[in-house]
Amino acid sequence: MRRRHAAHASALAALMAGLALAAPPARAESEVTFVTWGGNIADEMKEAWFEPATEGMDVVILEDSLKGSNDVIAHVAAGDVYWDIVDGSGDMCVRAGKAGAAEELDYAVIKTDGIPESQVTPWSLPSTAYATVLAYNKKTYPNDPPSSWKDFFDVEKYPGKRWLSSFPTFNLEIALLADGVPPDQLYPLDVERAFKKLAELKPSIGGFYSSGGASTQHAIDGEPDMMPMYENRLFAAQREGADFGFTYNQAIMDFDCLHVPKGSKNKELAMRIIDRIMSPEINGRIAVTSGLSPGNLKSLDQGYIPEETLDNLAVAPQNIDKIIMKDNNWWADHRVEMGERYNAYKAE
Amino acid sequence: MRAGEPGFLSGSLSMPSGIARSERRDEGPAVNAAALGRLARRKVLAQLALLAPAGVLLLVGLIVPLCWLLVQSFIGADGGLSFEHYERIYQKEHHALFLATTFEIAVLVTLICNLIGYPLAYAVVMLPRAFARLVAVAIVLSFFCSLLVRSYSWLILLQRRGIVNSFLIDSGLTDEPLSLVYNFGGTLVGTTHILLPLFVLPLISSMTAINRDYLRAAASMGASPFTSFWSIFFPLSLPGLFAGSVLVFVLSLGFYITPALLGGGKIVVWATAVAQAADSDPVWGRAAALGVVLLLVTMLSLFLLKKLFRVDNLMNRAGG
Repeated sequence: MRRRHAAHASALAALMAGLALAAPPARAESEVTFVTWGGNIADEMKEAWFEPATEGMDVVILEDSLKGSNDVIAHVAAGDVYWDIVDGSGDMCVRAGKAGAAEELDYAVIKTDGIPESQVTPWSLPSTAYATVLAYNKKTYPNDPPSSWKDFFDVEKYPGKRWLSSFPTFNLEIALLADGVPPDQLYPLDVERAFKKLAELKPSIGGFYSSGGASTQHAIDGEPDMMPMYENRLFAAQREGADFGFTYNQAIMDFDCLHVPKGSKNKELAMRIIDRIMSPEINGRIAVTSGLSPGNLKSLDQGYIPEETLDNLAVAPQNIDKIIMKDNNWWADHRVEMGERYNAYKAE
Repeated sequence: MRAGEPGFLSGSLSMPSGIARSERRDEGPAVNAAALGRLARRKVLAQLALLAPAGVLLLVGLIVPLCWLLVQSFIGADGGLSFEHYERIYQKEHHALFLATTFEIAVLVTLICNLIGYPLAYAVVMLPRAFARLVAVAIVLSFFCSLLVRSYSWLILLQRRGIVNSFLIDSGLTDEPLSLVYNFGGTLVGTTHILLPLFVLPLISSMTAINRDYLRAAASMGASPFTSFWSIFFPLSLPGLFAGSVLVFVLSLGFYITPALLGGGKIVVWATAVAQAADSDPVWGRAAALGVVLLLVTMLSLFLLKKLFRVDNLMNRAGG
């Protein structure tokens, strides 16, 4: 299932001219495949990073999408590596690294100035930071909208349909915060308590969205009254006319991570491109195109991000204090078990 | 010489040998037998050659991956041989729930297809030819439409602020939008719509093959239309009915996309569990074991259906 989208006009032209799929585009010396979760984030990353990151390099960046969080490990195990840079999320990159499926990054080439040290791993760097926020339908709650996860679980005061994501991550945290667990005592998660709280809410759950892109569509359709979702997916819905508001209060933050699959044929080029994407001069452009926070915090004071965009970022000073960091170490150890249990919860 | 025999394929080459044989007729039956044997062997070889492309495709595309799946399902998290994935499926009780949902959908969809599909097929067969063709084209067209498109169009119709709910509210029939989709009912509607052509098409071909003289004969002997339908037409249409039912039942056991889209994530069928396992578990074993269980359950249901309805028998009777 290789679906490469030529990011460069000449590549498209070559295809149309009837050349074989594998033939390199006419003018470029080499090509690198950059992989995202797809949907609007793919376009936003492309718009923000591809041109400045390859300037003067004679490289064409091809695009592809992740289908699941085990793709990189699966490709390497199958000996079929055709991706070069993968923008994963959460603990994906570290899991790939520990499984021997990611190349070690070359820190002689890649500079890490401005990147939070906790997110610099032997295999990966944080490309962006994203927050799961409480979004609500303004038509349903025109006055006194919900402002905490406690409100999200309060079906008496805020009647209406809730939607959750199809994956357990963030939802267990949300349930515990609503049940009164202080943010600094959130981890290790009290799984029993979280599922008990979630079970209480089940009658008010309209459904579970299957991906970030699906949450955008549901918001545009006005299907949910309340929904935890990534802030950039909400911004995308708002741009399409969704009448939704949100709060950063108790939002849960995580990072996307860039890594290079083991055996990538363009390893050296990938390192150089990652260095540029992670630089303060380029990394913050993602805030302009998507509203996501950059992984390199130094890019915030470079002056190219407009003031109103800066104020609305999750990492803005007035927002970051309300935000809670997700603990990927806990999730790396419990992902499979929680996935199975959450799947049962969805069906109950 | 019939098409399909090797001589037909090799064309003129077989002619000289035929002449030669007739000239040496006196050499007796031994020569004849040898020639016939040669011919038979060539026939077998030619038939094998005809089978080869399909055989290779089956081997590479189905049998090898299935064996790989079976092997993977017995490989544990530590890389050794293990039954742990099957034990887990047996121990965790939510798997029984997934299986029950899967069967509930398959049975209901098959029943609804029977109720809607039989009159539809009957109408196509009995209508004047021009109308029949129009209806048949409509069925085939919807069959050719992408499954995703058909599933999404149900969303547009049935969702909370969708076309149906807007109409109901605007016309004052309801005050609040009804929950028409993202639930069990929505999944049933979508799955039935997508599988209905697969039910109707074999049924139409089976009904078309029924000799109308039987019905005329029954009428001439005084049978009412009701009697001649139930005692002649309906029994003769049963092979098509069973073929369509089995097709729909088996396909809906493995349905994935439509329940995922129209069930709103709350309808977890067996195929959803397979996908979830493949996505979240770095070890393939669990997804593989779930896949093997689905395959076995499907094969077992087919076997039972065959026993229960004696499908083979019916097929033979219709063919003879």
